[in-house]
Amino acid sequence: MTRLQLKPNNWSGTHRDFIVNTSANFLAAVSVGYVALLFLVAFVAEQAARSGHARWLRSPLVYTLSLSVYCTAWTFYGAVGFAVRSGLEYLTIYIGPTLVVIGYWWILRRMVRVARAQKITSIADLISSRFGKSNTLAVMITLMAVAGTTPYIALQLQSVTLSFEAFSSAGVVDGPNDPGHSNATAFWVAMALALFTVLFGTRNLDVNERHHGVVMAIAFEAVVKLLALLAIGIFVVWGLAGGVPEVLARIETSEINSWEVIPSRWAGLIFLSAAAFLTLPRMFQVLIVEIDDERHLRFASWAFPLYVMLISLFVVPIAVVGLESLPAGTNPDLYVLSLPLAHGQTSLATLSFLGGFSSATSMVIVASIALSTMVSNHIVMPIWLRFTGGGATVSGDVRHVVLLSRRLSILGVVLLGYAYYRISGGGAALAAIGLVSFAGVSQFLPPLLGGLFWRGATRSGAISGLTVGFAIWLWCMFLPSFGPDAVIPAEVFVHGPWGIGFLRPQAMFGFTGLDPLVHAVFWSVGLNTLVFTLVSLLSFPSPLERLQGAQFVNVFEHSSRGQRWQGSAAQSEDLMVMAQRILGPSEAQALFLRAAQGQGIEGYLPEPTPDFLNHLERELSGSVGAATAHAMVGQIVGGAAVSVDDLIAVADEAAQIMEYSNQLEAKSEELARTARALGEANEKLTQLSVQKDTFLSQISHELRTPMTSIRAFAEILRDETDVSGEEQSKMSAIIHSESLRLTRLLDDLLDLSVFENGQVNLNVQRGLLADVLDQAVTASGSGGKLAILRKPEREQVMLTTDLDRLAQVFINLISNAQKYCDAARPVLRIEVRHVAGKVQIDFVDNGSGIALASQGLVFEKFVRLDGQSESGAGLGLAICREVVTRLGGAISYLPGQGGAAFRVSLPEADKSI
Amino acid sequence: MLPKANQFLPKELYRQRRLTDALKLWPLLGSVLFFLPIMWSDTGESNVFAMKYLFAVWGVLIVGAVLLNRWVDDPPPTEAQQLERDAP
Repeated sequence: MTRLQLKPNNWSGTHRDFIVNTSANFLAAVSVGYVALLFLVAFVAEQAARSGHARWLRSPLVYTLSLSVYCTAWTFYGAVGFAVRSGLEYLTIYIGPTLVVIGYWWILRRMVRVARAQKITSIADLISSRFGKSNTLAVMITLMAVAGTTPYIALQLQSVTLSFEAFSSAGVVDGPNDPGHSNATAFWVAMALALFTVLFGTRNLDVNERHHGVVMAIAFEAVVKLLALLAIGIFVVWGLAGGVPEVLARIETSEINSWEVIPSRWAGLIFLSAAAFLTLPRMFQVLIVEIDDERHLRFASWAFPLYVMLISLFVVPIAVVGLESLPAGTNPDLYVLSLPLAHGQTSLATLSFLGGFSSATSMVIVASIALSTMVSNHIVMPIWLRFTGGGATVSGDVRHVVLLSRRLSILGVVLLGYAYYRISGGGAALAAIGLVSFAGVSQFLPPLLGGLFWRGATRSGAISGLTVGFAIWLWCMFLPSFGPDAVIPAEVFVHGPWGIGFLRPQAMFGFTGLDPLVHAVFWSVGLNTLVFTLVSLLSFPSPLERLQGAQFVNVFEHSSRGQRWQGSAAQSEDLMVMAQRILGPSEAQALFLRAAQGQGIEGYLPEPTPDFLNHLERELSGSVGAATAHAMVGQIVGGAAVSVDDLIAVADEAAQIMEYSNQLEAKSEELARTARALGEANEKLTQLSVQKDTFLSQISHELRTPMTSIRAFAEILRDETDVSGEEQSKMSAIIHSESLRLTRLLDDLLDLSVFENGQVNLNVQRGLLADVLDQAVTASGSGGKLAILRKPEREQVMLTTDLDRLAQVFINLISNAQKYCDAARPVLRIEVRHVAGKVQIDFVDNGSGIALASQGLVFEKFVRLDGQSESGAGLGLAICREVVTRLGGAISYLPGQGGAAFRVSLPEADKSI
Repeated sequence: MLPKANQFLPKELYRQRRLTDALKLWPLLGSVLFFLPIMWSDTGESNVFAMKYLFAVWGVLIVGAVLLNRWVDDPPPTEAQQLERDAP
């Protein structure tokens, strides 16, 4: 305290005003100069990016430095205050992000990949896109993000005005706290930031082009704040304390010498900062949206922890030295300014001021870009599209509308922060607001992680979880943050609303004694997760959700294929008109031209294939967000048709291919079988054809031989006069027998054709099988050589059939045996048996039988086996088959019986007759 | 369905896989070390010791991350990336 060189009571009023004004003017000049420098940096970076030779713009170092937007004025000024109030607890704010970044392989890598594949523009876009491109969800998240970020922007404005005041009041501890003056400062800072953001943040629409100017400016500011903190730290340690051992000694003897961190707060804050690092809109912007190359994560995974470690390295020494040397009333949040000022180090203090200013401005710039993208894509554009009726097909350049809505959103977000600052009066401790904001955005964590890792997560689950989590956050953290009696009466803190003790904001469900912060985070995130999981388990996702879910969760395995638009109804020209209005004419034309070329079509209008429509939708979503792009393409194409079938078709393509190949295999087997059958048939046909040819020549011979002898003898009888009566009668007899032979042949042929044409009339009678066999044996005149073995007792079977025809069949079979049985003592066994309602009559001889090759042919017409001759025309068995078939039975050759064997099977007589 | 990857990898690839494992496990070790101070709450440990411990853990984590990220090769581009690169 004795070190303070500027004592208020040493100064006369006018002198004091002069100093205050000078320092204020000086600071204002420095600020304006610094902002101008930022504009220059951003401008140069934009120019360099446009000219295309600026690889350093895309270096991992710039990416890592841009991540430092995490370290806001809250961190820059507030960390020291945090340390003064709660010792080393401030480190948790950096440990969480350190662990997340070092573990990029788990979450960040996946988020970057998904965002790339789906052209994600914001955290709201990511979550809504995952849950079926739901705009409801996007709107919810946008509103929550605005609610969570506005106080944070207010905090930045507050920190800038506080730092102004710290400078002004360096000479006057109770200085000119003119509220109008601070409000003006906050207002002009807000305006300047809004202007900067509008200029460099809404230059282009497609996020793929990225905001090089902004990122470069942020990286530049990152260097400034690091240098500022390091400079003050070095000044404090080596300038004021006299070295590291001395500083450590001072810590040992200071108020914050021992570890008094509450374990639940230590764990809770590490979790909270890690969650916020992933879900803060501005962090999402720099981490995921602005990344040029996934590999930058590797560099950032150690460089960013190093950065935050350096940022936090001198916090405790500054806090301890500040506590010792500054007057008791000094705001510990401003020690980084007060310490150099108290020691007359104006330039160092100015550097420190610029560090804080950098932290504040970079946060406001990136947060307003991120929020404006969300507000514009998910709230303004859908409303605008609805109110302009035709939506995507109305005339006019949508690009202007989108850009205008973004610019207005930026202005709106910044002004909202300013309004919050004015209303809240800027009283609360900085750190408190920061943590409230962290807890608010942490509500996005369950749907974010659930969406990335769990295919079963559903939209209903996400919406319910967010609602519950957000409500608890509002009740337990946001509203109480204004202090007792500000929004919530002190009475409610003690007894709960309407006396319901269960709902006390800081002792929900009767759990008292918890730290308010840990309490709020535990209940909001915990119940959020629980409800999200439960509702997801119980609800059923829409096809689009399931499709998106598979794409998100399997982003490393799947090819990036979206849902299938059915483009048949779409008009390429309408799409072109729409795309031009969003992407700009030249970009849209180039896109369409490439697509048309890819399809092998001349000109600018490709076929609206599903692939092209998906590609177009993704390009558009880079400008207006997934949900809006989806709606716009949907308006022209006429609705996306995703059915569960489509879904299964996409997701289980592999399974389908397998099934298809199985089907092919089955088909080819079937084909092989058919081919075999055809081959057999063909062989049979060939054989038959050969047989027929042979027979035709034989039958002509058969017909010709009797005809020749008839003609010859008839000529002799006609011409020769000296033929004796004996000779005459002999010749007549020959003519007669030959005619009979011809008649018999023709009768057989006629018989067969009658049967084949189905013109036969059956004379159905009842009779015993034995009688029919007796008749057949007698008629075939088998008295001589052929012995016939029968078992009469088995032949007592009553039949209802055409007995005469049946006898004809038996006669044929018996006479065949007579003719062809080549055994020395031919024997024919006739066996009768009953099988399954049928009577089987087997005729088995003891000859050499029929060769295997001929067995299939014996029932065919005109077939005469080798070695057969004589009277047969080869029609007997064919006629038999026709007759038996007519009688409702079957005749077949029975192989393997030791001779020729034929089986006639007939239906048994109906017992009732 | 993609053919199942070979279960037994050549030595070089095996080493890469294990390094990737280490890269994945590194933050878990960091979490354990960073959460350890929970146990000091009753002992009233000196803050100087706590600072030394925490910053040492931090340093070790950073050095480990540098080395691991240097040793682990870039994963081969997936199908999705390839598609994106080939896309017009």
